[in-house]
Amino acid sequence: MIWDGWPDFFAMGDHGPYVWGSYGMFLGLIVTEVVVLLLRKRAIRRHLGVKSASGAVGDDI
Amino acid sequence: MPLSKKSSIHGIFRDVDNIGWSKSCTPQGFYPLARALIPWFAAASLLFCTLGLYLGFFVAPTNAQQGEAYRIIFIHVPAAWMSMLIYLLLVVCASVGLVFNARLATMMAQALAPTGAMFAFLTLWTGCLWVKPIWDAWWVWDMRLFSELILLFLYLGFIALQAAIDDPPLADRAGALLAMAGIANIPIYVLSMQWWTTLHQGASISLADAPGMALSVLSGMLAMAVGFCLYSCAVVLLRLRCVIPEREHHSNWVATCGRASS
Repeated sequence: MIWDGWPDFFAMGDHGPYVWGSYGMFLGLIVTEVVVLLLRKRAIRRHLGVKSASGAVGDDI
Repeated sequence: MPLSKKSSIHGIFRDVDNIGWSKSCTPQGFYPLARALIPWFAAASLLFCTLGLYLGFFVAPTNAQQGEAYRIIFIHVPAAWMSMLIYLLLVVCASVGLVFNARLATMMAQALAPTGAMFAFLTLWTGCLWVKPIWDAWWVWDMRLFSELILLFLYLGFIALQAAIDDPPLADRAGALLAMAGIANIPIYVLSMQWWTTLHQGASISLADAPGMALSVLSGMLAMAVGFCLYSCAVVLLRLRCVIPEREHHSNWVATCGRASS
C-alpha cells in the first residue's frame, strides 16, 4: 500500500488541488455530456409524440 | 452547388444496397444497431476506467521528480490521444460524407465533434493543472500546447460553422472543408517535439523504454486509454441516435417509428 491512510491519499503529497481538479473536471465533463444527451433524446421522443404505456423507452426512437 | 444524386457512383451504391449488406450503412439501418451496441461499450468502458484508476492511484508508485502531480498522466495522455484520434475519424467521416454524399458518415462526423472537443478541452485543462506545480506556470506558448489549443478551436469552429448555416447540405460541406484544412495541425502536433525545443516532456509511450516509467504506470495509462476509447464509442453512438432523428424527422421511417411506439 502506497498511502498512509485516506487523508494522505486525498492530500496527494500537497498536489491535491491539481490532481483532484483534473479528475473532478474529467468526471464533471463526462457526467454532463451523458446527461445532456439523455435529455436531448427525451426531447426528441417527446417531439415525435412517442409515449409508451409503461414509461419505458420505445424500441425505435 | 449540390452534388448530383444521379452520378454513377450513387448508382453503384444503390445496386450494392439491393444485395443488402450495406443496409447498416444507412441511418435507418444503423439506428437500431447503435442502440444495441451502446450498453456494451458503456459497460466495457466503466470496467477499463475502473481498472485504470485503480492502477493509477493504488498501484503506481510516487514519481521521484514530480511527486503525486504526475498522476494526472492517467487522464491527460489518454485524453490527448482521443482528441487526435477523434479528429482523424471526424475528417474521414466528413470526407466520405462530402465525396459520396453518404448521410450516415456526415451525421457521424457531427456526432464525433462535441466529444472530440470535450477531450481536447480536458487535455488542456489537465495539462494546465499538471504543469503549475512543475513549471510554476499555468501555460507557456509552446508548440505542443499551441497545437492542442488549435485542435480545440478546430472542433469548436466545426460545431459553430454547422450550427450557423441553416441549409444542412451546405453546412455539411463547409464543415467537411474546415475539418480537412485542419488536418495540417496533426503533423505539427506529432512532430512538435522534434521541430521545436519544448518544455513539454517527451512522448509518453517512449518513456516506457526509460527505467523511470514503471510498468504499473504504463498499464494504468493504457487501461484508461482503452476506457476512453470505449466511452467515446458509447457516447458518440448515443449522440448519433439524437442526430439521426433530428435530421431525418421529415422522412417516413422516423415518423412511422414515432407512431408505432405511441
